[in-house]
This record gives sequence, structure tokens and C-alpha cells, in this order.
Amino acid sequence: MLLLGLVPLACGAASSERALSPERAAVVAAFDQHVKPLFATYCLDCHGGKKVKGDTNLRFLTDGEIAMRDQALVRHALTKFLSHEMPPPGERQPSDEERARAGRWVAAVRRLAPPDPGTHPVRRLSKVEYANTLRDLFGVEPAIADELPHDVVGAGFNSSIAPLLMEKYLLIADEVLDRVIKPGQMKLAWRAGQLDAQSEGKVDAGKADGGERQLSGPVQLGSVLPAPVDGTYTFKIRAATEKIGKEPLRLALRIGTQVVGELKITAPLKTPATYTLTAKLPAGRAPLTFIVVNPVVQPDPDAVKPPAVTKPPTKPAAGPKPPPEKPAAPPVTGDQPQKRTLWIDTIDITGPPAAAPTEVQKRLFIAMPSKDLDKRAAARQIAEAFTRRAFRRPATTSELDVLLRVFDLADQQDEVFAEAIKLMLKGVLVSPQFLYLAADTSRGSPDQIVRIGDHQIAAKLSYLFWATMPDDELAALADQGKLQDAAVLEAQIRRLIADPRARAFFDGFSAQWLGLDRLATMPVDEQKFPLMDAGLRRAMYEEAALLFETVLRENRSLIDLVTADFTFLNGSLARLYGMENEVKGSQFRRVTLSDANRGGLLTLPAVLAVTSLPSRTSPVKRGRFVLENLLGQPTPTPPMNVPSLDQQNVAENATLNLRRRAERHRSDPACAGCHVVMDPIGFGLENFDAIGRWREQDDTNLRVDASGELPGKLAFTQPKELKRLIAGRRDEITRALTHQVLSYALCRALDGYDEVVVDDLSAAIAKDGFALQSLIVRVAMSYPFLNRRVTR
Amino acid sequence: MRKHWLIDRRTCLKGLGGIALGLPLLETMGWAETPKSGGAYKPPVRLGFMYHTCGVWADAFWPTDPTTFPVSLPPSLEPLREVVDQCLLLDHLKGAEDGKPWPPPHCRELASWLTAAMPNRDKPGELNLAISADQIAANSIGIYTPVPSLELGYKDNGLSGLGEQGFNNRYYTTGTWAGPTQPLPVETSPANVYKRLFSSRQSKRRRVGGPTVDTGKFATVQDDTGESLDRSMLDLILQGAKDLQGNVGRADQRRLDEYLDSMRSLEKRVTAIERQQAEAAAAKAGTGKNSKAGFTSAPPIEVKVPTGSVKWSEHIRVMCDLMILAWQTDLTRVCTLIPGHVHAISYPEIGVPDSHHDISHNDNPDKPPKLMKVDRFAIEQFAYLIGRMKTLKEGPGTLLDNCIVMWGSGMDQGWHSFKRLPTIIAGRGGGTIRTGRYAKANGNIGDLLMGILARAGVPMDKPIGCGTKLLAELA
Repeated sequence: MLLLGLVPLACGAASSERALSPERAAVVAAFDQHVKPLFATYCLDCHGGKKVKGDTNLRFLTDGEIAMRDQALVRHALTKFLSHEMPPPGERQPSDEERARAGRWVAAVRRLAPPDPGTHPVRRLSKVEYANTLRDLFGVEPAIADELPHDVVGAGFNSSIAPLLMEKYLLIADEVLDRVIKPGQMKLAWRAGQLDAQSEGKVDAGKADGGERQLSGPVQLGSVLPAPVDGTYTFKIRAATEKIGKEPLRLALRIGTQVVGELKITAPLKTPATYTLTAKLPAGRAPLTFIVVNPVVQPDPDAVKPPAVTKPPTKPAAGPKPPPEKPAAPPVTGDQPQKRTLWIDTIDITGPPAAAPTEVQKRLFIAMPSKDLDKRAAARQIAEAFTRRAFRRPATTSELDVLLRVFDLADQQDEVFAEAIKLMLKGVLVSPQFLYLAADTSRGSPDQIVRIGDHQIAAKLSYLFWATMPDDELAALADQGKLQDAAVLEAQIRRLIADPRARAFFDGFSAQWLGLDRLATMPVDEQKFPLMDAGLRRAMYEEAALLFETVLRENRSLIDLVTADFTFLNGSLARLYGMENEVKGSQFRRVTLSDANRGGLLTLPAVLAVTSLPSRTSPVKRGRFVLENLLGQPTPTPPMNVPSLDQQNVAENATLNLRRRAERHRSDPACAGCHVVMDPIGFGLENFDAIGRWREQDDTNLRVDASGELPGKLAFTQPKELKRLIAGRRDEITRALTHQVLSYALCRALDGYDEVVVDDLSAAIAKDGFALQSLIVRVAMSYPFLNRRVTR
Repeated sequence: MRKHWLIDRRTCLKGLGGIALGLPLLETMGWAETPKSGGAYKPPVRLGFMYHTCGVWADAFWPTDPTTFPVSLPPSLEPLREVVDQCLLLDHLKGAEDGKPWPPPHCRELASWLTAAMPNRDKPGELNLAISADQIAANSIGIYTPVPSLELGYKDNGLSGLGEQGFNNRYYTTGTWAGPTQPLPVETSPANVYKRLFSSRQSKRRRVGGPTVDTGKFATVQDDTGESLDRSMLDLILQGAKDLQGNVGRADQRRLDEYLDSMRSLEKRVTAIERQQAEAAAAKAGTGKNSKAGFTSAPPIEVKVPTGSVKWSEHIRVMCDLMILAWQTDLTRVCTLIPGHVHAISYPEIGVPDSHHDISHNDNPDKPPKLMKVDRFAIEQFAYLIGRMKTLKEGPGTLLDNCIVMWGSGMDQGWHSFKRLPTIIAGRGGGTIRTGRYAKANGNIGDLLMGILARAGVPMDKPIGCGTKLLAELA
């Protein structure tokens, strides 16, 4: 009884859920009414009953409930059905109305997914984003981050920070800060006793509390001078000597191995004087040495021998006191050489003359300690202003407190202010708040859907379009809370797109969409394609970028990406087009194409090259590219146990060209499902070699046969006709591109409710005349981009 | 007596973003690990893993008659002739399995090689694999060395995006994993590796108020005010990051955990260095527990780090040299060397400009000869590494005697099978591996990895991937 009581309870919960959703019930019913009969009529002969081709068995889909449970299978089947791949040619074909009915059911299933924008976990800045952000914060070249490993945002982006990455972030932070924050004017106030002295072969190491020194005979006084920048430095030295002979004491200053100046010391020990010397020094640490050039005076034969040898004065305890009484400058007498005595105390080094602060420095050091502002308060102001930009939002009090404690660390070590600030900024640059595009921390209950805050919107937009931090305008709007206003938001999106920095969008997006990030480094058989040097690779990329940007900026239809009758060429690229007589030099210019076989994504050398193998074309890769990336139809990898391409008869295959071999391969029913679409497209592009040059003969010296037929009896004989057929599938292309852009913008693979969003966006974009600009603006204003589900 | 070589006396390890890593004088460098119980000094076992993509051309790789091995060698193994006595050829080693449908074959070959696990198939775009064997070792024996492990490569493995069937491209480029969601980047530039190991970045003296006298001595951690400031700074930032953790969702917390782990790993490095320094100082003063009396080793090898682009073979050899150097100086005990994206390798240098992946699908009679060339080339590089290690004296034996270097691929050959992973083990693992023979493995890649790690003193309290036991055929 107990058992019986429990079971209905469990069922009850499930069925009440079903009952609560009339939409779901309708979809279940629609399957039985509309879809099941289609399967029975067109599919089950091969995918059910006796035969189960392509591992697809539809016999078990006996009612709508089961279909809902095994959606992956239904979707797989209907995708093939809708794309005209199935039923295969030669079999009975459904009417357009029947296909449309299936399409409506697929869309209705998608709509059952509850709205869910996803959780927006934090994401690490990519290499490019990190480099650009450093550029915007400090005015350094983005190349400063070249040592970081390559990565590109988009679906599949990995956000983890490996220890190696952390090490490099620290190194780069050091480098950036050393470049930007130069200690202003160096001011060193040394005492001679702090320097190492070497006199008559004896070394007397300097002490931190050393004072004046009195030395005689051959003397060297050394230290290391850390010149912060190139420039002119002034040395002020307080010194004295006792006069012996006619010549004054000559004190040379050597930096490294170079003598940069000489002082003539004449002041008597009773009244030391300050001597000044200026010298131009390169930046860097270098040994500094004072040397007495004439330490010993040879006897003067004419002089009279003095009554007694002068005793050297005793060293005073501390401080620059006047030296003890001594007989005034006795002449050198007798036949013994005499040593000179050098008394030396303070050595002040300043320089170079203070340079005007750079714009970057002004922006960093918005406050300086003064009588009215203590240094900690100044540091706090600096931290507040800097984190507002580096964290892309105002920092919290506790975040600022952490940074102030970092400032204290250095400050307590008697660092100069700029150096202490430097350590604090370094702390910012290795903080998670800087390295991750942070989640919105605004509270919400678990699974609640909340709109993201202004600062996060601003950051998401600027990293999406510019791959860097928000500029002042966007940041100010975020501060004012205005980005929640749709009109303001849209205007900002259009402004970002129009800016030249929006190239960053293509750079990132084309990596995910077209795989163009591979272009620069992918292996190509250099013997076979000597043209394919670094310059040509760059030119190919530039051409693709210019095509995309033109369609975007001129607010053209995204279908123009396929059908464009213009392109952009420079001299090296023109050789691929056979237009080297018309276009010369390294500058790109817009060229109208007279040959309709050229133009558009399908025939872009960049795309043709990345879908080729190092030494030959790959029709299968090209076909798959068009199918997956342009038309949005995923293709499975070949079944595991089927010999790939044409292993069946190796000897015979050797005598066939690629096309004939592929045709044999396609005769295998396990492969036909995909290859029946992929191969005709790929072979339709065989007139273009592995780097995108036009050719009439393929590698086996057979004439290229570019004719083929797409499902639905759509025949073509040349690339231009193939292009037209593909371009005709506007809705599929629009949906596929929307899917790609949304996935890129969200930096994740799409699933569930995202598909509904893509449907809605695609429909709206179609109404906007398929404008590419509209697509991108709409994605950036879409529900999943601007909302998030709160996680526990 | 000091030997002249590339690292001069002023070299201090400052590779770590400003954290001072004072390297003791090299002749006093010792292993910070104290021997378990008295007896003769025993150097630690060090581990190397060298990958070959897309399997091998089986006909030229496996001996037709194993009983004649190693007297007669299959064509692809011919380059091993001089060092084959140091090698164990392991046949019939099974690939990773988890009883579920396979992901695309090239998606798993490299990803499963050191993890013995399979990419998660539920969300193929999101990385979810397992920690790799080298990282398990790094977490254990790596704590004794300044660098827990070195991940080297020839091509950047940072590729993002999705590949076949929506599987994340990182599965195709990454063999070393710090955790299920943490693929590790490789260092591809020999100069950067060198810098990381032996950077001679000058210490930044922050005290500008008074003179500092450059006496040419080694800077040490204790002496360097400026540098220890950095460590304290990191501590504070780390603390701040922990506070942040309470404010974010679960997924974000995981990211922050990874961040904190990376920060802590920097600290661990410093600790290891300090320990090595103390050990070395004690050994020099004759007060150490670690008696190395009578234990002499070859001086660290000289490595010429090339600038600019080089041929692939040169690139590999420099990387091999750097591994040797790191092992000799005990800067690390765990190294991996992985070519790059399994689909994007080609060998123009030896006249095979084709895609290696393409020719590995040996569906055309002109492909096997090319494939053989590629395999042979890979074995030549491996033989170079082994050959050089064999010449370097270390105590009573050689460096190689105290290492285990595993060469292999995560798939049999282009036909996408995983029943006979090409595998060669070189080195005697401190006398725990019997080399110079052919053996039929009774187990899978997980069992092998467990057998190897156990020999390096890594506690095997948890299985690695699909492994269930220590592979018996090693001994």
C-alpha cells in the first residue's frame, strides 16, 4: 500500500509539470500529428524497419513524449530533413509545405526552453585584451605582452591562470611600471664614509653610517651610481686638501671606464669648499669612482727641507667639522716623494633636470603629497582613480584598503613616493579584479535572473568591440547609470563599431568563425607555394578584414559577405588574382571584380588557404567549412570504424584523382549523409588551389571539373553559380552568423534557450534587410548579453 | 672547482617577476631532499615525457620478431642503435578507456596520453578532463625544486575555439593539465625557458637614499629589501582575493581558486629555493645531514640558446638540452615536451611538407614512406636526448640512470585505434627499470603512468585515469 502510495506521487509531480505547460502539450501533440507521419513516409524505410543506415534508428520515436526525451536524435534527423540532405536523391521527396511543417515543429520545441541568459562566469583577459588594456592604462606598446601564450576569446576560451601565466604577468607588470614611472629627479646625498675606499692597496668598505674620510696617497673611492634615465647629472662634492707643491689636487670622476670630469681641489683643510661637476650619463647602474690623479708629489730640488713631517689629522667623530689646525701648505722639500691628502665629506648627486611629466604620469599621479595632503591620502586618491579604470568599476573600500597596505609596505621601507606607488600599482596589475573580466557581484537569490550593472555592460561592450577597457565616454555613462537606457546603449554600440579600434572585433571573431588566426603560422609547403610568405599571409588576412569591415560600416546586407563584387588588394595579393598589372605596391585598395567567380567569403584566398592542407586542397575541409561555418550545419566526424576517404583499395586509388576517389567514398551509405553536401561544395571550389589561385588543372594534371549538384536538384558548373546557390540560403546564413556572433560575444557554446534567442534575432535581422550592423547591434543588446542567472 | 659555462657568477635566479631567486653556487647545488636513511647518497629519480603526434607507421616500428630485439631493430627504431641498451620497448599498451562512446580520435590522443582519462562528452566545448601524471608528480616531487615542472613545446598550444563535434581545441594541443579545467600553456621559446630557469635580471635596489656597493656577490633572498617587498605585496593581494571569493558565485569561485593556486605556486617556488640554498650552504659548511662525500657529477652542460627561427630539429635539441640542464642542476624534476596541435604538424625539414595528420591516414601508397621518415626523425631526436644523458656522469652512474623518459604517442596509427600505443621507456629510474629489451605490456596507459610515478617516489594512493595497478612489465 505504501509502495502504491508513493509511485503515483512521483508520477503526479511529473505529470502536473506537464499539465502546467500547455505549450509543451501542444508540441507533444504536434509531433504525433505532423512529424511522425513524415518519418513514416520518408525515413523509416532506411532508418528503422529492416535497415538502420548511418546509425540512425527512428523506429523508437513512437510518440511525442518519447520524441521529447530523445531530442538529440529527432533534431539530428530533422536537420538532415530540413537541409534537403535527406531523403537522398532518388528517393521520394517531401513537399516544401511538409518541410516547413517540420521546421515549425523544431522551432516550437526550442521555444519550450525557459528563458535563461546563462551565468556569466568571470573570464580572464585574453592575451590581446591584456596587452591593449596595458596600452590604454600606461601608453605602452601592446607588444610588451608578446611572451604570453596565444589565445583568442570566443566559445571554448579557457579562463584559468596557469602558474606560468602568473609569472609572466608579474614580469610584464614590472616592465610596464619601470618604463612608465621613472623616478623623477634623482637626488643622492652620500657621505664619503659610505663609499668603499681603496688607499694604498687597502680596502676600507663603506658603512651605512659612514661620515667624512681623510685619505692620502693613491686613493680611489667607489660606489655604484643608479642613473634612472639618460641625462645630465650634477655632482657637488665638499672637499679639501693640504697644499703640496704647485699643482692642486686633481680629483677625477670615472663612470664605468670613462673619465667624465675632473675637479681641482685647492681648499685648505681649515676651510673645505664645495666643488661642482656636471656629466652626461646613460641610464643604468654603473660603477662610480673618484680617483686622485696626482697622489704623489715628486720632491722639488729647490725647496728647503721642513723641520718635521706633518702628522695626518685625526678623523673627526662625525659630521662635517672643520678639520683640525694644520700648518699651512708646506712646500715639498727633501728627496722623498710626498703623498697628498684628500679630505672629502658630502657627495650630492642630482639630475637630470626634472622632466615635464608625461600625460600618462599626470593621469596616474593625480595627487602628490604636500603640506596639505599627507602621502597616504595622496596614495589613496591615486589608487581610487587608477582602480576605477583598471578594475573597470569603482573599487570597494576594502579593495582600496588592501592597496593602501601595499603602499605602506614600500613606504615603511623609506621608498620615495613614486616607488611606493609603483608597488601599489603592481599589486593592481596582478589582482584578480584586473586579470578577470569580473562578474557582476550585485546580489540576487539563486537562479534569479538579473540585469547586469552599468559598469559590467560598459566593460563587456568595450572588450567585445575593442578588446580593451572602456574609454572615458563609455566609462562616464556607466558611472551615471545611463547604459540601461536602450537608446543610449545602442548609440554607444554604434559608436564603438564605427571606431577603427573595432578591428579587434574582427580579429577575435574571425579566429572563431573562419579560423583566420591560424593563417599566420599554419604550415604550407614552401617549395610548392613559394609565394606564400609572411607578407602574403598578412595580405590575405587584411583582405578578409577589409571585406568584413566594409560590409559592416557601409551597413550592407550580410549576404554581401558571400556575393561581394569587390575586394581589397595590394601588390602581393594581386598576384594571386592575376591582377599584378593593375594593382601594385603594398597599399590596399578597393577593386571592383569583373570575374564573378571571385569575391566574397567562399573564394577569399584567406579562407581557401586555411581550409587546405599544406601541399594540396582539401575539398572535404572546404565543404565542411561552408556547411558548418556559413550555413550552420554541424557535421559529425567520420564514423570510427569506416576506413577514411578511400582505404578500400589503395592500389586502385592511386590512379584516380581526388574527385573520383571521393565519389567512390560517397557511395558508402555511412558517409553519404554528409558528403553528399560537403563534397559538391568542396569540389565546386577546386578551381582554386591551396593558396587561392585560379587554376584549370588540378594536381594530377586533370582538368578541374567544378560542376556539381546540391540537394534539391540545384546544379552548378562554376564557382560563381555555387556562390549564388549558397547566397540564396539567406535565412540559414543569417541564423548561422547570428549564432556565431552571439556565441563569440558570450564567450561560450550556445545551447537551450540561446537557440530561441538566435531564432528571434535572426527574424529581426531579416526584417532589417539582413544588415550586418543590425546583427551585431542586436546581439550586443540581446537578452543573454545583458542579463545573467545568479548562481549559488 | 668552478667550471666555466654559460651561467656566470652573477647569475641569480630572478625569473619570477621580481621575486629574488638566489641560486647557490652551482658546484654546491645539492638535492634538498635528505636521503631516507643513511647509506650512500642517492640522487632523486627525474621524469621526462616526450610526445609524438598521430601514432606511428606500425610496419616499420614494431619488430616482426620480438625475440631478435634489440639485436635487429625495425627501420624506424634504427636511430636508437647506440642507446637501445638504455631503452625498453613496450608493446601492446592499451589507450585510455572509460566505457563510453569515444570522442573524436585526435581529440583524445594527446589529451589522454598523460591523463589516461577522456574528455567529457556532455559539454564538449567546456574543458573537463583530469590532472595529468606529470602534474601529479610536480605536486609531489616538484616541491623540492625551484620550478615544480617544465612544460615545453615547439608550437604555442594556446589555441582556443571549438573543433570537431564541438570539442574544445585545447584537447588537441595540450598534454599537461594542472586539473580537469586547467590546461597548461607550453613555453616554446628556448630563450624564454632559459630566462625562466636562469634569469640574470638585476635585482632592483629600491633604496635610493644612500649608496649601495656592488661587491659582485650573489644577491640572496634575505639581503634584498626590494624583492621581499614584492613577496609581501603578493601576500596582501592574495588575502584580498580571498575576501573577494565570498562575493561571487560557484563558477567564479572555482576560477578564483585556480588564481589563488597559481599565486601560491609562486610562493612554493621561493620556499623550495630557500630550502635548496640552506641545504647547499650546510653542505658547503660540512654541517648538512646530506652527505655527498665522494659523490661527483658531470658539470652542467653548456646550452647554446638560438635566437631567431631555427629548424625544427635544432629547436627540439635545444629543448632537450634545457631539460638536461634543468635535471642536472635540480631546477626541476619533471619535464614534458609536446609538439603542438595534433592536426597542424608538418616536417618540411626532412622533405615531408605534407600535414603529418593527413599522411598518417595511410590511404595512399605514397604515404607510408613519408610516415616512416617522420617517425624516424622523431626517434632520432629522442635518441639525441638519451644519448646525451647517457654520457653525463652522476655519482656512480649516469644522469640517465636516475631518470625515466617516456617517449610515445596516444594513438597507434592513423587508423584511429588505441590498442598498441607506441611507447619507449628510457633510463633505469634509479635501478628500478630493466632496459635493453622488448616487453609486452599487460595493462593500459594509466597503469604505465602509475608505474613510472611510483618509481619516482610519488605516492600512488589514487589511480591515474583508467589505471588500476602499477604496470609490472617495467621491472
